[in-house]
Amino acid sequence: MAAFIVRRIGEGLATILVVALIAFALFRYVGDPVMSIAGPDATQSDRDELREQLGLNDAVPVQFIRFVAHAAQGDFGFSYRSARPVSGLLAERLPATIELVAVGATLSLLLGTGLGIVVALKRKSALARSILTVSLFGVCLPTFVNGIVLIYLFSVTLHWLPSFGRGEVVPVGGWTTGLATWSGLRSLIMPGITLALFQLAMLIRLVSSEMTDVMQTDFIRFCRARGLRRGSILFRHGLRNAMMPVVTVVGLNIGSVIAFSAITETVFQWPGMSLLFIDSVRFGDIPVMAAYLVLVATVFVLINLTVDILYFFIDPRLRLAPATAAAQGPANG
Amino acid sequence: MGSKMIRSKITTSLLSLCITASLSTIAGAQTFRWAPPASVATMDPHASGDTTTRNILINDYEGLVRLSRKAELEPELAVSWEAVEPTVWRFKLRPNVTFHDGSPFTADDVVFSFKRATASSSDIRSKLRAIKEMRKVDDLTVDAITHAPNPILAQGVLLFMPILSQEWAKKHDAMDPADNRRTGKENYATRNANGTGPFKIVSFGVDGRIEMVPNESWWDKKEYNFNKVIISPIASDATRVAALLSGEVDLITPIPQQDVPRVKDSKDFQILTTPDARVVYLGMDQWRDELKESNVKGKNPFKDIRVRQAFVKAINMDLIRSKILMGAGLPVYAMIPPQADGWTDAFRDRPAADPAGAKKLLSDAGYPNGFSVGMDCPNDGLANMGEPVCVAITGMLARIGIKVDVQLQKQAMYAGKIGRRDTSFYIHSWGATTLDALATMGSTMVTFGDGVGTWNVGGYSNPEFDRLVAAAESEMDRGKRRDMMTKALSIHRDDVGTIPLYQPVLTYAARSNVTIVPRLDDAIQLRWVKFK
Amino acid sequence: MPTLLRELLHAPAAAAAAGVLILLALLALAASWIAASDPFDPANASLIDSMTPPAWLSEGSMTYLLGTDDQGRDILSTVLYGLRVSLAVGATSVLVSMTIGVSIGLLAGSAGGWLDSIFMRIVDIQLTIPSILLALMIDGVARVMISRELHSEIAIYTIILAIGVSNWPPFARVARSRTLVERNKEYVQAARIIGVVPVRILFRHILPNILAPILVIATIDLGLAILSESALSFLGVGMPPTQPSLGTLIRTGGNFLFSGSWWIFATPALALVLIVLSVNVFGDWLRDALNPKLRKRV
Repeated sequence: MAAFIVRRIGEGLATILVVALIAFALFRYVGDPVMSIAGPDATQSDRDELREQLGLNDAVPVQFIRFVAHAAQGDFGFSYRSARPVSGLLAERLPATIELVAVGATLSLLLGTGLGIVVALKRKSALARSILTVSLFGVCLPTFVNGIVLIYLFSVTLHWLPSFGRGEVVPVGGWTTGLATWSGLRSLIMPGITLALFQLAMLIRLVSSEMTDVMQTDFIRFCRARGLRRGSILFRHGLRNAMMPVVTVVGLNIGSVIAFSAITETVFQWPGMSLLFIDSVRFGDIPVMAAYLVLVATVFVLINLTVDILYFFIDPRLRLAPATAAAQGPANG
Repeated sequence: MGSKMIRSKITTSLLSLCITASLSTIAGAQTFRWAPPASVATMDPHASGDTTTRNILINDYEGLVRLSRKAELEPELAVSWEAVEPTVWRFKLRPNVTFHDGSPFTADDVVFSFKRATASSSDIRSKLRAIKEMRKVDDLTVDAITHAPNPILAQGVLLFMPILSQEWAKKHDAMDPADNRRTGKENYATRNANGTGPFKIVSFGVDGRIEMVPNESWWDKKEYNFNKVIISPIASDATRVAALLSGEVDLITPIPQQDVPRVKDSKDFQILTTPDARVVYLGMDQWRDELKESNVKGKNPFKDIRVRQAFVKAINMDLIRSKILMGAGLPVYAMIPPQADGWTDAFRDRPAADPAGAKKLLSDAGYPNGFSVGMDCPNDGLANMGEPVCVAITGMLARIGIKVDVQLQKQAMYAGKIGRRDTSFYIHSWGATTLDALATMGSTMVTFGDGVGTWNVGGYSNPEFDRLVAAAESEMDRGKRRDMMTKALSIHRDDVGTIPLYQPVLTYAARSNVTIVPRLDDAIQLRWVKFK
Repeated sequence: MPTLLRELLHAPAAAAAAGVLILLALLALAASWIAASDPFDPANASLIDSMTPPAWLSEGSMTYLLGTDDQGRDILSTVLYGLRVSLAVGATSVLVSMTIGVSIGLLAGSAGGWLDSIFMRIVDIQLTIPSILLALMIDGVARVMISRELHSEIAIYTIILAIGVSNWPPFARVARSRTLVERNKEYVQAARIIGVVPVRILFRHILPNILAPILVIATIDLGLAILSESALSFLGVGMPPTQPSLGTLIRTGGNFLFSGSWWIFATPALALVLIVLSVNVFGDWLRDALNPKLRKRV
């Protein structure tokens, strides 16, 4: 177990490094920061000087090594736009994104599992069909449309919920939370739902399909034959076995949830990292973009590690897998 | 009894709901809430050349001069100014003015602010390039020494020099704008403001939210009637409109054109407009021997004036203004707006749209079947009108056989591509921020070289034009100078150096219970805001 | 296959979905014959008629059955052409993702060891970078490598590649995790014991058994791929605005969502909802029909 975790951490670090490299290569296609910083009045020599100052004239590998060396010490340089340390900019916006993603993921997991079970148990019913159909609308329409429709319904027409921002936040140590105030919670509702919507349809389908499969297995038939209670079969045995692919998908989807949060944060003017990222793409603010991607990569690696460890507990069969895989690898390869 | 109680409970809660709703209106009389599309990049007015930043900080930091409601120059921290020599302007400063921290305003602060604004870490130093140095004469008098005679120094240059307190900067070790990019240090001025203006910034949140309170010891007469300002940036157009409609803000800048009719129809809201001091135009590469993005090889069709004229005749601007811009564009056919010095009313006249004539011109130039050319457009620039305007132009050019390959890009990519002159055909806009034609001509029309014609991306070059601009630059007689500028602009028009399209209109929306004075530099002067 | 077809006829919802899909595909294929004008030819836009409402409204005109957009293009024609672009981009890019993802997942799951590790780390890396950004990079590289005059002609292939390549990881992850489960099952062990060739085990025995979750992902992914294309065009690297896809039309129409000109948004949105709905209804049915365990019961 320990050796396994150490190996995965090593692999995780390698992943982050490669992401940094790709992020770096990417920015050459995203924009030219010099024009944005220097402004329209700058002369050619002003621009050249700025380019030199920013180190943009150095060879790309040199820029990359410099970036990694600094990043390793937690120093991501300074934002071209606001001229403030990137690590600070991201850190103060991290809580907003984490809270939004957590609420969005929790909502989609709870709703997805719940509705998925209903669909699995009542496969042919009208209820199951309507759940499946309605859930599709979340996927069919772009996130910005879903968000805007919610805003017009609940803010403009009904005046129930605020249309933008995070409401009142309370500082807790180095963190700011919107979960502790009434206005903060109200502000979370619509962005949370918008973010949950896009993977809800997939989760419902996945849960119901897995549940249906699991309920057909000999294992469950055996449980039934032994006369275990229906609820116990469903939740203790059925759901537990069906959850493995679900946990996989939710884990691996965190990356895209964060990516999708960019659109959600834009629509609701949610002051998180992803909104900062969108602003920086517009401005060509390379240090912010690079740091954001590396940060997302780190979060992702951590979540992935957790998912892998969870595997061990959810599906006992996999505990043997690495060993058997190693033994049988050559035969299949 | 029970049902009665429940009913009274419901009534109470409904009542409290109404009270909350009306309270927010009462609170509205105390607090003015404004949603611009972006927040300030920094609180340091010398550290960013960004217009949004300037237009918000203008309420805290003042300069020597300012613009009136009619966008005319008027005294601010200077009370008067005169040219004592061709290259020396003398400014008399306003007495008894104090900064927000209580320190007095003197000539030392002006000299200091000039030094600070032209330091190597300043992002506004290119705007002050005309001034060689500033010198203190006495406590309330300063001289600005220019490199060459400059008749419009006050409006052209000093409008863009916010005044900081030397004492305050010294105390907080913020003598230079933070040179974050090199030294990696932000300083006190990055997140704290201390101007002389009508409002004091009291907080600057993570989300870009800014809170201001009135400066009780401001030198000028107060016209506003509220005691708090909250600025909450909202980047998404639709959300900004929703925030206004739901009553969460009092003013949004700007409002997307397609939402104007709906807001206008409601008696709770009003639409405010002002012409923007800029011109949107098309540029064409006229200097390369072969276009970078075209199927014409071995020659450059844009070098032929008939091709450029054909483009003008192919584009029906009246149609674009009414159908695409929906009124948010005014007719101009010159590179400056009517508000800028050098304008003459003849600059409104555009050759009539005439596709047949355009086709004939193309044939005469040797392109009876047209040609193809790439076009650079920002999809999030030009007040979001870049995309529809470019697509409409593509359709009009298609009718004369020109196949345009529109390349829509994010602003940062687009600006980089244009700035590197890596383009054949592009849409662009230029603001006459000093309300004088010369700055526009010097940047976008004179033959490009170091420091001049930086944004003359199409490479237009006419010696006669350059000569007139050079002569106008040091002409101290405003009348003669104006004639020279007008003449030069006419030459550029006749040469079709660019194709001016329209003058944008800035459109804001506000609740109808508040008076707001829009100004052509897109700045909201909070001191003019008043609840009815 | 004939049994499958017979089963389909007994499931009215799925049959209807299949019918709608076939109809939409036919409409898309026949767009150039049905459409009143070619909306991809910018010369056909009639700006003077822009924002005409659909024919049944008071200001509508019979020339433009479903109205016109802000550029004066006939909505019906534009949507038919957009349908073609979107279906082509969506279906092809899902095929690309599926092929890459399933091959890698099968291989990684059955081979195990270092090969598995490497493949899964590649998946991690790819998942970390938002797919839109990856697509942006692929497009950027394509722009540098391909001459500019060709750009609008090859735009669609670049987009298919960009979306296809950036969306394979979910397929790989699920294929792998299912393979891990299947490979330890009795029937695979049995096949191995009687000496069936590993490749044959993989494709004949394991693949059919892991298809159900793959199909679930593919159906959802089709909708996502179509939407990804609109997000790409939002970033300026999608289909050129003169050759709009459904996604592009929804995006530009979104600006008019609440301004009264709802038809600019509603028509392409309806078309997209129809596609995604039918694909999913059909997919749901197909999943059940292909599930060997469910079939045994039937």
